Amino acid sequence: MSVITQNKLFVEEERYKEEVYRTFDGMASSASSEVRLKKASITRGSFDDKEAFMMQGQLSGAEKRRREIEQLVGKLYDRPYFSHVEVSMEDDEYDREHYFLSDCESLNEMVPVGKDGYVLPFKQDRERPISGALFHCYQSKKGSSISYRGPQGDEFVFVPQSICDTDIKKRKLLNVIQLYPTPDVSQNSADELLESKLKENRDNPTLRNIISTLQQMQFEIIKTDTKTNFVVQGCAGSGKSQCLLHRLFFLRDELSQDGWNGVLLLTPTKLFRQYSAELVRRYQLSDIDDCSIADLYITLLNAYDVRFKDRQYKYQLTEEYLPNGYLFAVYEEENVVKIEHEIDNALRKYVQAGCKALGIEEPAEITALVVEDIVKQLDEEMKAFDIREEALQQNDEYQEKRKEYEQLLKDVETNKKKKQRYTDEIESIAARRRELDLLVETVNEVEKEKADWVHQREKRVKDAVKKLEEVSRKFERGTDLQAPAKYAQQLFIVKNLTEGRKFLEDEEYLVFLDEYISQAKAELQEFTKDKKVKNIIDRYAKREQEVNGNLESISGEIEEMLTRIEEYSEWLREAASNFEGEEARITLLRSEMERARYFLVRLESTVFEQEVWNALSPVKEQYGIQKIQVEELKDGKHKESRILYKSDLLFYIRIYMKLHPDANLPGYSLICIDEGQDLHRADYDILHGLYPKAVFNVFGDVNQVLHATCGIREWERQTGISTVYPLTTNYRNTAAIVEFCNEHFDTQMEYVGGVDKKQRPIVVTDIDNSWDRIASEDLVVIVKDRESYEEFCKDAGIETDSFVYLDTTSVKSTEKQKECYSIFAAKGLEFSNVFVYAKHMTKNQKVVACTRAMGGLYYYE
Amino acid sequence: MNSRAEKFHLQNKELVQNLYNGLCSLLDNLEMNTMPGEEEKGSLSGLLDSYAESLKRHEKSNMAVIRRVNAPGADSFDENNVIKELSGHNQSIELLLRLGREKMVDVADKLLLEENGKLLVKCGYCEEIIVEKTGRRYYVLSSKGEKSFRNKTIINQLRKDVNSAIVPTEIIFETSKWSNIYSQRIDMLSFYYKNYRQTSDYIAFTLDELKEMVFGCEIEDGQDVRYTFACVFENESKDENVNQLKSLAGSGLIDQILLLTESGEQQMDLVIKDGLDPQLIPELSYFVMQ
Repeated sequence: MSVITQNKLFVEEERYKEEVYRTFDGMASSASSEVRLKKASITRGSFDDKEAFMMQGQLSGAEKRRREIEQLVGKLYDRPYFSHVEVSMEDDEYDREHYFLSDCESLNEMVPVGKDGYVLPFKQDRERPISGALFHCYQSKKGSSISYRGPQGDEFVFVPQSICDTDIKKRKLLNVIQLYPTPDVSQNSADELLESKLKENRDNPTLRNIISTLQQMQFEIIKTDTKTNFVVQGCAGSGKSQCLLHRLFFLRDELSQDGWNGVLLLTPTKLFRQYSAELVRRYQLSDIDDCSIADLYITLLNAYDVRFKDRQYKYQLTEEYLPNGYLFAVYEEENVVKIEHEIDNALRKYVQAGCKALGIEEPAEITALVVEDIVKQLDEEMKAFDIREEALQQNDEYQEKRKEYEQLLKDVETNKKKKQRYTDEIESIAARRRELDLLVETVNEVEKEKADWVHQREKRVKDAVKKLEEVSRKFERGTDLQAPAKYAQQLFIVKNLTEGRKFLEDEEYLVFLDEYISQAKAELQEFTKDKKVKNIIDRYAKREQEVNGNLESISGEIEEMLTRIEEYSEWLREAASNFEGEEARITLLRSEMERARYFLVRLESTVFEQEVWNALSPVKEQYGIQKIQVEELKDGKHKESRILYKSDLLFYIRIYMKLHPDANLPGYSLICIDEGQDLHRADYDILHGLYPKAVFNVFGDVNQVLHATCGIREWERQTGISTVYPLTTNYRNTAAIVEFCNEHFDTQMEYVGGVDKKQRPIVVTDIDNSWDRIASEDLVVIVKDRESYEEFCKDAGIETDSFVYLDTTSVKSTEKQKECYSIFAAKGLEFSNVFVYAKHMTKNQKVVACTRAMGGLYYYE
Repeated sequence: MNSRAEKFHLQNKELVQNLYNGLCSLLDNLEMNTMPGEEEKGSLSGLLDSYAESLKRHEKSNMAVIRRVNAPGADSFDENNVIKELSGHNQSIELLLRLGREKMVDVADKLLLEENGKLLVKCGYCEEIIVEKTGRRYYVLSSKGEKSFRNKTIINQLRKDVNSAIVPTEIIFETSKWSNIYSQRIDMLSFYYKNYRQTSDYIAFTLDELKEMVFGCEIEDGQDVRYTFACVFENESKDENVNQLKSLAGSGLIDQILLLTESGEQQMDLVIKDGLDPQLIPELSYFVMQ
């Protein structure tokens, strides 16, 4: 184990590399030879008919093996490995093994090289536990011994002897960097190698395999065990999305044990899913549920209730076009709690109605099963009611009593309404009286306040003048050297009070008090309509007395009626019991039961469409959010559908969660969220509520929240996840772009390498005249929204159909065309060259827009 | 001999003695019927020329520093008239008080050019003067104005209109009694407050019986005792004035005396030669009026 020079290192690695390629050659050649051999045997025909079948089988087996080997060699040929780790066994320093780590995403096996070497896929592998140990070894870049357990549980220990990063392209060794032991100064630095690799990546903007460029913190994140909740707070371009996908790739073996059913990947937009699709496919992660949070909500609602898909709703799931104020109001904790209360109260109200109609006690807990049971009881009760009433049709006395009973019920309802009106009037009189008292009191108070204040002001002046006289007398005596100064100071005070700044302030305050008095008097006058206050109070007292008399009278009537109703109901129940032959629990009104049943059978949609909808309507109206979509039908009629936004779905799910705690939902044990800052606390609460045992891996950046007033600002407080990994280096963008952002938008991103002057972003000042030249480059335009796009076209002097405008609802076309992205749509994507039209963007949006550019950036504001 | 002649003789003691001796010698010769020779005549003639020159110089140096421009006619002071003229004219009363406090107010002061100022001029409460040395023109209180200030009935009546009409009689100093040095110091203070402090709110007052050590004190909020002194001196009283300044600054009762000088050289002279050194006497500070 020693530090060697760059030349020697290069020569040695060249030798290992050739050995690897020779192995590939040998494998291919051996497979081809076998095929040739089998073919020759068949051609010679030196076997009987019975054997011919077997020979053909052997040939096709050999051909299959050849194809597999050719495929394997084919995929490894371009870059067989990115790192070479030499280890020795703990008990024998001279027993060396060489591991060539490959980042080839489709390599699922270990390829032996020579007698002590192996090309190994760089990911956790159950069948080859050494892979995890090597990952740890590569990440730590230290010489400490590393132990691991083999498939049989035996413990193995190895000691790293050297760790080298390599850059091989089509059998040519371009570079080699020794990471351990610490390299000699004469070697190329690891940073330079990283920089050159990043530069190469920038030539083709897409999500790519970045294993060979992974840094310490990224390794930490990728290898974190699957039981740990964490957040990755990564600046723009820090490789958050890649880290997330690489983590899934690295843990593929472990995660796929349950057929990927336990993993949920939440990504922001369809465009992002299109963009990441290729890497997802290459990493064989396509089986993972990958959707947006809104899509997840719809899936869950359909899983909760098969009737949900038939409900007449229209969906607007992107929040791109919703105003900040609306999102803030709707996701605000206070509002969420308020809606929760509305839901709880509504559930209780409808269940209460059912229980009351049945004459049973309310349940302690309300679930779908409880509701179902109440509906069942209501059905039975209504059936019994119908049979009984039909049979008693012939009983004249019963019919007569029932008629009178129902009339009494109507009368008592009428009287109750009257009583309510009287009660309301009493309250109204009291309220008017309170209002009048308050207005009179206000006038008196402000007049007193003015009088007190004027008195104090006069006293202040009087006291100051008195003091001025005193110091003036001292001045006249001529014995006090300080007297002139004291006189001057006191004169200032008097002048200030009587003509200076204080005087003006006092005058202003006096005007204010006068205005206040005028306003209070005007309000009182508005109330009294020029009538005397005493007369109004007398009138109120008189009316109050009258209404109280009426109230007393009607209360008596109601009392009397209720007694009679009770007598009638007793009689009717007894008659009914006699008919049924037993003392039954009888409900005398069918309509109550029907009504209760109607709501209970569709309780979820009732609660949403009545209570939640009504509670959210004012805020939607305030911000001009469309609530209903009207469609013209062929017959001239209209069809109205409620428009459901993501926040509506969130509350809808809340209702289902309360009623169906044991519902059979897709079960997730690992929830990975990309762009996690654009979810809201309420979303995280829902996810935690639905999947209390799930592990959360959240990737995001609080500085890239696109909506100004919502989203996640503090990870731990708002998501409940305390482990936060920071990623502060931007690997995606050139140093020039990162520095541009740091300078212009106060970001504090770090970058790799130095600023190349030629790569500095170009700030465009005259878009009208320079657009033709800029447009000749292959670039995408990023704007805030569609309105900004139209403004951009006007500024640049181009037609609006010059670009395809893409927002969060769009799907990218495969055709080659000029594209303009809204900032919400561009989130998470990368492009070679970008023109940022920054007008109307927030600071966060500008950072997001600028950091989409891998190479050239034009900026106009 | 009046004081001015006595002062002249003291200043030209040697010249006067030589001339006296020359005349005595000429008289002696004449009594002895001896005609004075050319040399003797020439010497005496030279002495006479020098005497005449000294007289001229002395006359010039003792010329009044201020000149009245439009003194009001007869000093017609009538208590009732004054009350009648000023009652209800608060701004005019304020201006009159200011004239009393500051002694000299620039004729170009915009308040004096307004209606309220014109009333004071028209009714003879102030008169215009020119400071010969600087050519600056001011209004000062006239005899009528001064008398109005000293009249308790008038002041009590004016206080009904203006609360701040409380002026210590100590402040009032008749213009006719101003010495040249007093006028020059007031001129300098007025110029300083108007041009460097942009304030007209100050009082000019004296701290000695001769009424020559005149100070300015700004009418401002605060507790500190801060005075301003214009460094204009006469040779014969300079040492005494300097000692007075040192004594005041060292009294422990005054927080700051700002000394106004006409040049940096003057400041250096006062620091080095006269010992008015802010490093030694921290209560002192300087302001050079360019």
